[in-house]
Amino acid sequence: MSTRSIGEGVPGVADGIDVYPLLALAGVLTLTGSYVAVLHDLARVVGDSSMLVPVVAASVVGAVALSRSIGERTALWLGLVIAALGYGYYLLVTPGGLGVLITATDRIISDAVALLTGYSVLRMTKAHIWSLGFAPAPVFLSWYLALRRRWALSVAAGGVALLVLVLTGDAGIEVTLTGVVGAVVAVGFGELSRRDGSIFEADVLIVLVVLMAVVSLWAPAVGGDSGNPLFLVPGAGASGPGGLAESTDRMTIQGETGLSPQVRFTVESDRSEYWRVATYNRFTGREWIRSGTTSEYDGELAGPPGPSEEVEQRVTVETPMRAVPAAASPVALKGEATSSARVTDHGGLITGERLSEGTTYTVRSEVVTASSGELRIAGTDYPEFVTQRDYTQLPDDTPDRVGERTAGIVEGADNPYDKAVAIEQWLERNKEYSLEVSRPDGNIADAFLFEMDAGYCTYYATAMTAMLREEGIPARMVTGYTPGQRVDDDEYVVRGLDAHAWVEVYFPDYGWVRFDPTPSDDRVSAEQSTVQQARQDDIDGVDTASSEGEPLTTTETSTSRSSPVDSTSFNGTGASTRSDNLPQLGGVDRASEDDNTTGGDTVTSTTATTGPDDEAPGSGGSLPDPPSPETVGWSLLVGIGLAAGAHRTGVTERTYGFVRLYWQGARGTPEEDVERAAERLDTLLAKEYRERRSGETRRQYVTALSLAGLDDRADRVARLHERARYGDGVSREEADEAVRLVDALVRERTPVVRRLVD
Amino acid sequence: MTDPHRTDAVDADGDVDPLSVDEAARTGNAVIDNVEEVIVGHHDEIEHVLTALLADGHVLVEDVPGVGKTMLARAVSRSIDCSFNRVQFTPDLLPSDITGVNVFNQKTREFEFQRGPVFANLVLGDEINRAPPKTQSALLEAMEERQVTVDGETRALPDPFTVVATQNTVEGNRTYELPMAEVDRFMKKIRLGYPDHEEETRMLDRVVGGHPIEDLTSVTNVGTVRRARATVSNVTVNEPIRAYASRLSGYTRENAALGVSPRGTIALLRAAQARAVLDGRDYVIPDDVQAEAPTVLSHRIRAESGTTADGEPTVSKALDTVPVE
Repeated sequence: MSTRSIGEGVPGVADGIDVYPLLALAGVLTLTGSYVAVLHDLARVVGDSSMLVPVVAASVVGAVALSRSIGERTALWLGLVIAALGYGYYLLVTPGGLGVLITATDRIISDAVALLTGYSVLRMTKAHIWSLGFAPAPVFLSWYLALRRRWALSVAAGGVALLVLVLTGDAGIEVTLTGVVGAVVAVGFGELSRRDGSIFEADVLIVLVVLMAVVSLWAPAVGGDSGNPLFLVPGAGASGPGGLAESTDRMTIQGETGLSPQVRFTVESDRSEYWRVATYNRFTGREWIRSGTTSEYDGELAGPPGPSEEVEQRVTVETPMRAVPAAASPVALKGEATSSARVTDHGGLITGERLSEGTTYTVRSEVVTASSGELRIAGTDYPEFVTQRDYTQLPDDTPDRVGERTAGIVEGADNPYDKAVAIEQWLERNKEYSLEVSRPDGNIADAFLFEMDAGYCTYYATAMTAMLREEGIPARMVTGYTPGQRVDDDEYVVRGLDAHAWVEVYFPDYGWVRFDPTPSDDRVSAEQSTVQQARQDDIDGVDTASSEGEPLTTTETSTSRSSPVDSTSFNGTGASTRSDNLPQLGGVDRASEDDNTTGGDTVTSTTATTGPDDEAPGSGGSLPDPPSPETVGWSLLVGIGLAAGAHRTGVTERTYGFVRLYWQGARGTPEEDVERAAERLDTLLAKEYRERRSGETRRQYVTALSLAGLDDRADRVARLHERARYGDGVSREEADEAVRLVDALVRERTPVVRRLVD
Repeated sequence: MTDPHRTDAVDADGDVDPLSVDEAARTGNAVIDNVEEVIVGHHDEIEHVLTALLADGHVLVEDVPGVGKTMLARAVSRSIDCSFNRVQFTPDLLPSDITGVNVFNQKTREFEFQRGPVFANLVLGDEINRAPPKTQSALLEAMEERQVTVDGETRALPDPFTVVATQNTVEGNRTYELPMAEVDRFMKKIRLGYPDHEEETRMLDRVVGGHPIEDLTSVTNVGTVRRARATVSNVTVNEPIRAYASRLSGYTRENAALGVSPRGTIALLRAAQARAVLDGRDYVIPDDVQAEAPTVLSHRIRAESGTTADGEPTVSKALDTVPVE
């Protein structure tokens, strides 16, 4: 009755306009907006989002224009052609070109699988072109179908697009939720307008959409969200000609962080060096991403193009880690880590597997030894591989004030080296070092420059890299470890708290040169106090045999680039890859697993007492955190889905019926009890025989059913009900009798319950 | 006063000691059983006449001649041991032929009122539609007012006073159709109909060789009937029943050219009260209402304006449609 009545009358018609289709179109618009927003974000990060909106608009216009003139089959083919053209265009602009289609089909499939298992589009080369090619087909199809009022299909087209982006992990929860809500709205109101029916009839679609959203959110979590996409082809992600899939890493900039005093590894080296772990080139405003491919390590890597000095290091792993720390730039690797070692597009070393405790390896690095004078005249004639790899990329939405501030700082400097030094010094002098900062919203570089007074190395390095890029100077973010505690002439103990982030700037003919904008004194004292504390607390792993009892002298405190470049503290790394698949040198990529989430100076470790306890968030409070809006939103969504599913499968009706049958409810007056008992009797008889007809009295009903074998108890209940309702009432005993009789009748007719109750 | 009926009528004014429901039910059913000794195969109709009697209403019997209308009325009157008069309505019947006239008594030199046939507990008005409207209305006024006024003097009618009027539906061209306003005054209209073969055989078996009506003895008396009537008017009619009756009437108003008047709704509940008593209950249940609705409501409904078709189909639809709550 109730569902029917909604469909009656003039549903959704207000002032002569049919509202339902408009609402459904609004739903399609929302859905489209959700995935276009994701694509726009992708394009914006890589730097060029200006073309996306016109392309999307053109698709919508095309859909409007063609919605009446071509058939659905034609439109479907047209959509597929558009999608193929988009992909083809993307292939055309990537290094391998269209030839990939023939030479590396398996790799394309592998790439697709990797994408759908959590491989962010952001890590792909030319991600903005990808999003440009991806957008038109779903937009066109979904709007074409929506205008033809094929709501479900329209939502399916848009939903697939959103699903892909959810699977790649690029669509956040909010965007996904928005899209899903849009889809539900579109389908719900679309169906309402199509059939003049009730919204309850859209339950199947609601279930499907919610299921889709939940599964899609799950898939990346299962498939491997952060950097563990599933590659079907062994070695895929290596330097295939297609170069779509790049085994990369990303580093999200965190808020407050702590210090782990545990020893990570020890190094035997003639020189005190920064031990590089990972390099990142692509900046999204919130995180750092390394794009590009990796290849297996197969011999020597190219060193810096300019003057360099050979440094031999022997590293012993003390805490298992997924990293190959080495001074920049490594050129040769020997030892146990060799078999699993991989080389990034940026000349860094990473490892495919976790290095266990006790693993040793030897790295030979070529450290740039150019003087500041040499670097000043290095010029800006950057090789192609530098200009092509996003080393000057900044998010589209980076505020202008970053550039303006930078311009003010570097005023007077007329070459990249002086500019870099100016920026480095400015940061060191104007920002306080602190591990207790809350992560700002929006662009980290901008926030650090204008809104924050303090930060730690990640913030310093991020800001400096962004500022250099504003000036058009190729720079990249690097994470790794400071030299650590010097325990012997040539031995260093490196702890988790030595983790650090710095900047590398490229100079033509010399290669990558390290700059460290983080003020070293504060950092070092913070580190030392933590180690002291950990030693007092007798925490395991704080010391090796050689470092025990040694004073915590830091081997290198001066991190300033303003010192003469030819001093020993200077480190430069060069990279001058000439071919795509043969990186010659670079940094070590991929932070150790404990560290890889922050890449900060110091990293929270679960085993260590980290940071000042009294300032740990929530250390004084015992209240559980309220659920996040995301949690609430998802719970709501899942709830809606479950409700729709229950409605669809009739569970609600059945449950309601079950309750109506078995649950007498709280006792009231005798009359109320009898009425309730009679209702239960009605429910029972309706299930077993037929429903009481409208206009049929309960007495007639029971009498009619007695012909079908109903016994006198039902009649008795009917009589008691008559008296309770129409007569002068019933006594408590009679009411109890009615309830008892109905209980007995119900039990007899439901064997399972009878067994339980009797 | 020599008129026992008159005395009864005065006594009945208000404080009659009601019978218990059981006694009233027993009495009523005894009458029904007794009448069934004579009338074969019309149990339901007898019940209807009796509920009308107990509910202080009048009955219109619409049927062809010779199906036992008179016999029914006589049997009822004998069973309750009350006065019974029969008036044959003819086109030349005058109102005074029903109510009575003042006659000049030569001996006493005074006018003396000669009571008409309407002065009886049970009056059978045969073929009421054959008399002219003026005469009809004299009877109908008596039915409504329970009194007659002759030459300015008002005289009360006996209590109980029940009219069983018959309408001849055969010779339509020689009849004066009762107007709706007057039909409304009958609590219910029933049809006797022909007996089926078996019933007719049984009936003939009894009638041939001496009519059983002559041997019919009373099972109760007028005083008891009055007390039973008091019982009926005390029967509980709860809100759900009132609402149900109102919904039924409402349905007829929405689904027929002329629906049931509020007077009809009241009559329905009164008849239902009587039926409850016959069933031994002191409260009305929907089944009572449903049992009475066809006879109480049908003749008050004009299914389509301009026709004489009554509302029986409408009522039966109402009973099927209007939910019982």
